[in-house]
Amino acid sequence: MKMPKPEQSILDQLPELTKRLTSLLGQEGIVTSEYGLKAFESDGLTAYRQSPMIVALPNTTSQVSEILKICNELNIKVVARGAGTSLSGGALPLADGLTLGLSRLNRILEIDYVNRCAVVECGVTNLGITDAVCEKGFYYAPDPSSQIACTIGGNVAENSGGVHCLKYGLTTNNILGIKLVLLSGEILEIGGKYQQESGYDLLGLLTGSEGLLGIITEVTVQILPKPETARAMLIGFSDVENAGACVSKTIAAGIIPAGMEMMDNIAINAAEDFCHPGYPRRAAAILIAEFDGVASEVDYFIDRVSNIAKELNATSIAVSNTEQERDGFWAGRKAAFPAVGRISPDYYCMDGSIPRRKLPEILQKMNDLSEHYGLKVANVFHAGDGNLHPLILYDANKPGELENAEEFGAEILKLCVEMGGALTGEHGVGVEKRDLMHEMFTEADLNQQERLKCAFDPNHRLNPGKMFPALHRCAELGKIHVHGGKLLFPDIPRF
Amino acid sequence: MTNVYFPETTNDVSEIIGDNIISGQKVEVRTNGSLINLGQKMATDSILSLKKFDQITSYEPEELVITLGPGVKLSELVNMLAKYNQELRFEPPDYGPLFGNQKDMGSIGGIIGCNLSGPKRFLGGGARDFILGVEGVSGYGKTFKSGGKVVKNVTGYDISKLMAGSYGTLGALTEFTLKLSPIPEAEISFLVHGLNDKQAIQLMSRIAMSPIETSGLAHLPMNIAKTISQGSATTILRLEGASVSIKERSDAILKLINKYSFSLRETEESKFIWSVICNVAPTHPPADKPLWKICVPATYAPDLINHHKPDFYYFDWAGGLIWMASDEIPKIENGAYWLIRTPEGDPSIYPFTNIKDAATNMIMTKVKKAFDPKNILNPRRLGG
Repeated sequence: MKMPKPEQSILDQLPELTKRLTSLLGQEGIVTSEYGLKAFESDGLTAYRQSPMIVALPNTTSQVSEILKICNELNIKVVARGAGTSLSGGALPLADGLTLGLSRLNRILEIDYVNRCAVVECGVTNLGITDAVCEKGFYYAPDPSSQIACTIGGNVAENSGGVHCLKYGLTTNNILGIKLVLLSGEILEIGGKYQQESGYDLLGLLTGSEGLLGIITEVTVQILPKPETARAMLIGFSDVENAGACVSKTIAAGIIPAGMEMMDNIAINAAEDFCHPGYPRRAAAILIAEFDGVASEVDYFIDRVSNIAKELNATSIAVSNTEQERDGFWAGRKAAFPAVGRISPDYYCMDGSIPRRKLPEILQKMNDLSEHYGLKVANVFHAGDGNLHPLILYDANKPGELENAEEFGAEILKLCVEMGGALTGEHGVGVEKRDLMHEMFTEADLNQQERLKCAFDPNHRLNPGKMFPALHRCAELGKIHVHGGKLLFPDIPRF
Repeated sequence: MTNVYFPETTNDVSEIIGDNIISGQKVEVRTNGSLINLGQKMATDSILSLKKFDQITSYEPEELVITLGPGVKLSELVNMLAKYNQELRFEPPDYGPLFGNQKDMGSIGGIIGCNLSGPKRFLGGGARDFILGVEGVSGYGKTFKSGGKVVKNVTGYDISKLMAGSYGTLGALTEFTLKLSPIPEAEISFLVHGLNDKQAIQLMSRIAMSPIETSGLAHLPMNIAKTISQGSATTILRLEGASVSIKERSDAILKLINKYSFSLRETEESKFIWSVICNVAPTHPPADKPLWKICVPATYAPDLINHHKPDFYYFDWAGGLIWMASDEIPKIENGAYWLIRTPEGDPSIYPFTNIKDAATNMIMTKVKKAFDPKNILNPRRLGG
């Protein structure tokens, strides 16, 4: 993975930068020692590591603003970091960059139950929001698997999803406002405790912008009343095609579960070995479907999905009757990644997304690729919304195996795009899929995205090397080229 | 005489915009034009109509996804989807009649371009939440696409959201991909009579805070409520879903409203009431006053009305949306407004919308420039 070449002129600024940051934040607000910087050298994508030049740990939005002003003046690159759980290398540091650690902005500023929202600082964890509002029967809906650790600021930057986004949407559908600090240090309030903002949808643009446009320091999130009942189904199938068909038929019947997950046989057995959730070991695939709402509605949909599953020759159908049972069904799914980590020295987690009906087809093709590369794959899907998480099993200590796994992963993502899907469903582009962007977008498409980048950060100081396969100069992108400067058919009146 | 272009291909659009880049002439981007009076008045040299982009490119009901051109008529789309028991969950409104046009003239392009959403918005999101991808031509004369055709996709900036509500100022969109939803099996509405604004907001908030999922919470004061019921202010609560679920939730609602006078409206009657609330038109807002759409925290809604004391107003989105006819610009500190309809005569004294501050305005200007450097597409449509 090639990153932008460190700029000597930036490295030369380190003493001045350190002096100014120390004066702003004190010794406790910066990290400069080699040992201390090690802690920040990677995020959830641990295959890539790089110590940052320096780390700043602000406590407030105004400190963030001051830091950015300094960086802007000294031309320093800035990489924002929440809890460092990104799976695409979004928070991978730069050798000539400042890592802006935002975990100390972790206050819940306001909970407004009547207007069903909460204002929190960016470093509050995803689960921390739900913990703060659950006593009144509320919760924050997006639930990425890392929710115990990941921060809401990171969730906004990556537009994180989770198991329940099938019914409740991604981060972008669950937030109302942000406080945004531009590289110039200017602080913008976008949206707030109301449903729709005026002007361009900057909130929508900033969500999923991966730290390339500005730093988000506060978020106004929507909170929802917790559904009265939630029950889960665990359905086993002897072949993967029928499991896939069950997902398609359920959705086509107008039934939208709160979540609908699929695991294949390797993942099932890894989970069984790891935490014994009681999954059918011989099943080729299992589905976990959850329904929430009032009790009668939940029962009604469970009946309907049971019938669909039976028609498709499900080998087992279990329905949770208690919270304990429901948690039990989920335990194996939630622990799927560490469980797979136990059966292989390393794994590489992919995140493509496809039209639901293509599930069986892509599984078949992944099997072929698995044989071709000589690497096993465990499959865990957010099947209801066509988001795949193939885990490629490899051993980084075997020479060439990481590169082999990366190549295999890239092939899977290309397949996703070929099938009408996307490179990333919820993990973001980061460094991981940066060089694959051309699979999905033309040069012209990417240029338009880059022009937006230029509107916020014309010198590519914010998280450079992420998302875009090449960094073009903004002046060049801004030029207008029109068919050789000639009007086409200037004399013809057009009606 | 104003030139009107009716391009049929993306390439045509690109050439027309390219011509205008060179000549420096301003272009009005529209589809059918039923909302052409929505937004700040513009001076343009020609009209680029996208009405010939009126095809459904792909629709696979089992994927709950549709790809279509901006010129597809909304009414035809809604009817077609209904055959497959699907709908646009954000309940797109028809504001055509507000502007003196026939109903059902509008196209999906106007809905997306203006990010217009109906009563269900407070529950499941607005038009912007249902856009999965777009293709179009920018003010550079270049085609661009963003997003895709699958429900879950975070690849690159979410330009699709930026396009929703940009009023054609960032590009001429030639194709959208939208997320669809199943039509709920059944619907009913409860009408609670005689509450004042504050009581209505309290009741709606209480219900919105409970696990009884409602897909509509609106309040019409007495003079407006005449359109749908008789004699008194009316608070309307809508339930949708499977019949068994509606029954259980109705029982829960009854516990909250049984101390008030109330009545029940089923299926078609319920649909009629919500179309009135959604489309504003049948409530007859006075034509001689500016008509404002205002988004605020619901708890602030009664104060706002108290301040302006308008003759015409009502609440939707559980109080988070206020429709108000008033000569005064809405007095809000925390929220957004849009001037939906200007009074007869010179409307220029009123801003179309509120932009929070100079820094926000600056970044929006830069965003505009990133798509339309010569400011030729719907110039000043959004004000500013």
